[in-house]
Amino acid sequence: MLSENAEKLIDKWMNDTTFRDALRRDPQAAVAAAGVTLSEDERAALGTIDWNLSDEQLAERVSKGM
Amino acid sequence: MYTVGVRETQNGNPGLYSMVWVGVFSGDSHVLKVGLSPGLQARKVAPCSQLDLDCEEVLRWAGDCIATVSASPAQRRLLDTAFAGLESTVREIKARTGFVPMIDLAPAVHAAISREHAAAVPLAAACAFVFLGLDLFDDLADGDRQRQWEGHSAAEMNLAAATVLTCLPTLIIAGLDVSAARRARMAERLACGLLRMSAGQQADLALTGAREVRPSDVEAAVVGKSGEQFATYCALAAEMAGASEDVVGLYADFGRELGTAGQFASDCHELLVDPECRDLAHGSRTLPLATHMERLPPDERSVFLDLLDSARSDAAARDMVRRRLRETAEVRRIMFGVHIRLQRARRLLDRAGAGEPGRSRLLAAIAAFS
Repeated sequence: MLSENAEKLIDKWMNDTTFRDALRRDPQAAVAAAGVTLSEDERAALGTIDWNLSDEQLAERVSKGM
Repeated sequence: MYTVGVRETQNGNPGLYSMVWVGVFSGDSHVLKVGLSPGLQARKVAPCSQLDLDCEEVLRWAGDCIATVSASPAQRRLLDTAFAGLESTVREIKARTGFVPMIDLAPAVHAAISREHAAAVPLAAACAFVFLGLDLFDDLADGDRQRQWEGHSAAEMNLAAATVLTCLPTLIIAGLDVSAARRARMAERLACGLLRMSAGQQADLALTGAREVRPSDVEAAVVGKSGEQFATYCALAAEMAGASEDVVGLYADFGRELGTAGQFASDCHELLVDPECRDLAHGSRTLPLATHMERLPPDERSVFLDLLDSARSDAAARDMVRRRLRETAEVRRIMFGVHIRLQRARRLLDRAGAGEPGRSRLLAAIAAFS
């Protein structure tokens, strides 16, 4: 489960197309500009996700190795 | 007429590692008593610069183990049937991702602490047997049946699962070339880990088809079922490598984060990508479904639950569930959580002081799920 701020980020990604475009260009800058405070791990994770991918592509990238 | 036999199992590189099994055999090769010869097994080797463990070596070792310890020819046939499923699963994961957690984790953790992985090959086989036993129980719970079980009853599968899970890892740990105190701690860690995995599986079973599902309950079940499995593999390896209690705990935490993240990622894959979508057919309440339901008002939640019930047998309903999840970015939400857990796992490796050649393999494990 996500922290409150991480949830806010995903909600904003869903509902705000300008933020979504900004996140795709530069995730760290977009989050800073939006005033969302993330933990160190959340900030690091932000940079490891390719925000240009669709949900299917995101899920497809991970190995189903369990 | 009984004879006492000694058998040495060895991989393709003579001298890399070996383990000596001592058995009392009857004339028809029926093993009456078997044990590991103390002090002779798992020869230590020089530190290596690269971790070049081959899954096939571990599979060969595990297959030899079954051949040697089976208490009757019929039991060996049953265990070989179970083992055939493990072999195909391991090879399939290896081909697809390059990292097979139930085999690769223990040697990688061992090498991250001691710079040496070959001594952990028997432990890797023990972890693979833990996975195999749990996987069989999981298949029984879900009504799944791999091809090699055609013609066998559910009772036989159940017997194989119980035998693999309770006998083989314990026997392997009992024969490891570590101090008696460390062996006892490893046996305790295995038992406690299995208790937590069992509790996780129980929680997961209780969620199947449920109409009241909280995301925190789903998360707790996944941590128990999958997180504890990887945590146990890592803790056993760290203990075997001679790590302190604190460091063993850090590797266990690493494994827990990795196993939990991997299961969530796998659940997302199955929901949106896997054509079979067996989780929906089984009525499993995975995290994307639970988080979606939590956000719905009560009347819409009830409609969605009805849709999930239909999705167990109706492909069109399954497509509709998938569309709803896409529209509400549930998978992106879970995948962000997966990446956060993987970052935590990476930080835990730093805190544990993971060194090469194990560190690179453990980072590869993180990459396999991200």
